[in-house]
Order: sequence, then C-alpha cells, then structure tokens
Amino acid sequence: MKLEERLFLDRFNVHEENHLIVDTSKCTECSLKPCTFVCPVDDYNWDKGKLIISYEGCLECGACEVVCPFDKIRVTSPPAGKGVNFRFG
Amino acid sequence: MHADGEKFDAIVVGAGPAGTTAALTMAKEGMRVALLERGEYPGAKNVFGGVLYRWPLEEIVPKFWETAPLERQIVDQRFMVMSKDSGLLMSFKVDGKGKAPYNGYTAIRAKFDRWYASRAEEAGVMLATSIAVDDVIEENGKVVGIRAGQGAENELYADVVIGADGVNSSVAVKANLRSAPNPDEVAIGVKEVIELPAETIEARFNLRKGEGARMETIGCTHGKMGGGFVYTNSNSLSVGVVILLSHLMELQMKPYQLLDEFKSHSMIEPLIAGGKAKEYSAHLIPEAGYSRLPRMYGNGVMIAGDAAYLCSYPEGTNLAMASGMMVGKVALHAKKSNDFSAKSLSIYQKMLDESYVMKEMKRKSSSHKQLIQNQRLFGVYPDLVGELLADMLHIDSEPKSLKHKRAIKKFRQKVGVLRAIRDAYSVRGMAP
Repeated sequence: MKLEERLFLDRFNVHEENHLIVDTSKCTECSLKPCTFVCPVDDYNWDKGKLIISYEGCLECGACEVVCPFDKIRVTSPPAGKGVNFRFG
Repeated sequence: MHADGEKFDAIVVGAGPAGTTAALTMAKEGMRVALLERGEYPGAKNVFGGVLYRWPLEEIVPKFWETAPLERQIVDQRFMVMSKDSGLLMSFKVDGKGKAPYNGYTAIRAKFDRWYASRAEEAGVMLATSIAVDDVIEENGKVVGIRAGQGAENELYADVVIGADGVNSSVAVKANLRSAPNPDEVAIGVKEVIELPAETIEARFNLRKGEGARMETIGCTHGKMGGGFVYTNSNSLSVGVVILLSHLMELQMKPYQLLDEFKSHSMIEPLIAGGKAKEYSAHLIPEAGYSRLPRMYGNGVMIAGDAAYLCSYPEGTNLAMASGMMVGKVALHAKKSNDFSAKSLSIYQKMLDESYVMKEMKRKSSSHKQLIQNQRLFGVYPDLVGELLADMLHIDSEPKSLKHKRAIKKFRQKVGVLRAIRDAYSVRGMAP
C-alpha cells in the first residue's frame, strides 16, 4: 500500500502552523539523516542539499525528535485538539 | 482555564489508562480533579496493539466487561517464529466456554478511552479535552500547576500534578524526573486497522463467535529487536510491526517498509486478504527497561504509565492502570495530611516496588538488555528454525540420516550448542 493511500485513511484537523520545530543548521553535518527514514509518513525529505519538512500528515509519534543526532527537532503538540485524531487507535 | 485563583486538588495530564485511573481513584474519594487531554477526545492520540487485562481494571470499574466497549475476549494466544519465507506457528487456546469474565480483551482505544474517561466524569472529574500541556509551573522547588500555552489564562494550579501524558511526556521532562528518550529506550510501532466481516475473522482464526486471538511474531525485523503482531477486533484486525528505534536507525529502513513486508508474508497475507484498510497509525513504546526507569515523584508531582516508562512487552495498559491507581491512592493519603512534598509522595515508590508492576519490570530486566544487545535472537535463530524445519520436512530420495547430520552441522556452524544454551538462559525472564 502506498503511503499516500495510507494517509488518506486518517482524519486530520490540520493546524495552520508547523508544530515540528526544526533547526536545520546542523543538517549538512549530519551524515545519517535518520529523520528522513524513521518518520512513518516521510515528513522529512533531503532535497538538493536542504531538509524539506512537511507536517500535515504527522502522526505525532515523536520518533524524529528522538533520533536527531544533533537534538535539533522539537515535536510540539498541535494546540486545541488539532493534528491527527485516531478513530480507532 | 482561569487564573482567578481557582485551584484543583489534583491536575492529571493525559486521559489514557494511567491518567483516567488516577483521576477516578481520587474523585471517588471526593478530591477535586481536573483531567486534561490534548486530543479532541480521549483516545484521539493513542495507539494500541494489545490486550486489556481484567486486572486491575476490574478493581476500578467492577464488572467493566458488561458495559465497556470491548472487541473480543482473548482465548487464543499465538506465537510465531518467522523467516523470510517460512513460519512456525504455536497457538495456545483455553476454552472460555462463552462465559465472562475473561482474562483479557481487545479494544479500540478511541472508543474505550472515551468510555473510561466518562466513568471518571460521572465520579466528578472535570475532563477538559483539546488542552495540550507543555510545561509545569514551579514555585520554591515545588510543582504547583501546569501551562498549556502562553499567558496566565493558560495556567492551572493544584496541590499535585500527575503526569500521565504518555511516552513523550512533557510533565516528566519539565519536572526533571527524566530526560526525553534516547533511541535505545523506545521502539516505534506502525499499525493498520484492517476491516473484515466478523465471520471471516472467526473462520480464519479458528474462533467461535465473539472469541478473539492475538498473535505475536519474531523474525520480521531483519534481525533487530522487535516483532510483528495481529490482534482480532470485532470487525477488524490490528496489524503492525514494532522495532527499537536505535535498531531501525541501523537498518536505515522506513518503518512502513517493515509493515509492508510483514503484511505480504505468506503467514499473514491470507489472514488479511480482502480486508479494507481503515486507519494507519504510529506511536512510540517505552523500552527503557528496569535499569533506566525515571524518578517517579518529586515535590508536588508524580508520573504513571508510559510517562513513567512503566511498559514491558507485551504488557502496558495494565501497568498504566495499576500505577495510576497507586498514584491516586498516594494523592488521597497526601491530601489527608495536606503534605504533597516529595517525602510525603515517596510512598508511591514503595507501593510500586511491592506491586506486580515493578516485580514484573525487574524480572524482565536482564533479558531486556540481552534482547537489545544480542542480535542472534531476532535474526539468526528464526532463520535457522525455518531453514532446518524446511529441510527436515521436505521429503525426497535423500536419507533422513543425512539430513539430520546436515542440520546438526549447520546448527553448530551458525550458533553452537553452548552458545544456544547461554542465549536461552539469558532471556529466561521473557518466559510468560
């Protein structure tokens, strides 16, 4: 199953502001770039020497924050019930 | 929330199994409790691949199975050793004879957590949803309240703050009870809920009407610590894969690639065939183990459930509820003497140590370290089991005596007798 199809299954109440606070100053020094593969929805992509971050499909698991070798990712909680709302969970 | 001096006896952060249990325990005895949940409803941010056990829920809501939104009673517990193209499945079933109560049930957490939190509301708890707590308020070295955003209108005060806000707890971190997790302290789980008719599930899993099965699998995580699972709900299956985050980093794979591989395995594909995917979810699971448990309390603060890393595969919600109940009892005790200092709350640690929760965490302690360090357990052994059995059970003109010799040689080459004995002994704590 494609990731896009998977994300289409979930209910999101998208917040206008990105709740993933990322300081990209160390990304070029980071050889492994674990955020680009541990994220279960591919919210982090390395493209032409830059980290492209999307947040709309974020499942709020927090893995990106845990794996960042430079401790530069903060996953804050989307306010007021925004973000993903699991109907099964 | 008001900053006009209104103060609760207790603030509980997180309306999951730990938080709701704590809130309910306190409110039943007359404490004024605010239960804050960041989701739109309790369960909105929770993910579960597991079983709700009767204990300790039964102590909190007697005969819960008569009213709670449960899915199936678990009668069949399955364990599978998988290699890329084989599977050895063991199933153990106890005839439930169609009579409640059962030892465990599957549940849809978005339904169950809502139901459970409304039991707390009935007991007088003030439940507030869509409130994301991001900090604690400290005065003179004591936690006196929480913040859920900027400004005084987003502050709330209480005698005691209980952090039941899950594995990514802000309360535990901001109150300096632990730091944020390291990659070798948490696993990531990715899961799909796949819809199928009840009769199809019962036929595929050899179940009577209403009965349920759980299946835990090793050998599907490229030799790394983790596994796959299938849980039967009423009209759906919960199918997922779990892997230690530091090991996923070594693999450099995407977690959903592991899920795709698991779903297409010959032992799993027929179980989910024709099903309709309904939800995709992900969550972190505490895997810190006994030796890296946080401080459980401080001045004016206690933590419970995943926030306190009280999770030990395959158990979690039971440990969350048990610790939530203890936190509630300790708060009630502290209320009597109006002393919420760390010294007064330290009985929580004593209660935990004497309970099933900590005894189970401790029992699994050394095995847990082995599972993380010893990469044979999730790769070499499952592959070897598949390889040897496939050879033995393949009938052709070759004499069996030769096959046996080859099997012994292979086993000696890949593992060795003494090492196998040592490995088996090292994970004895994982015995059920």
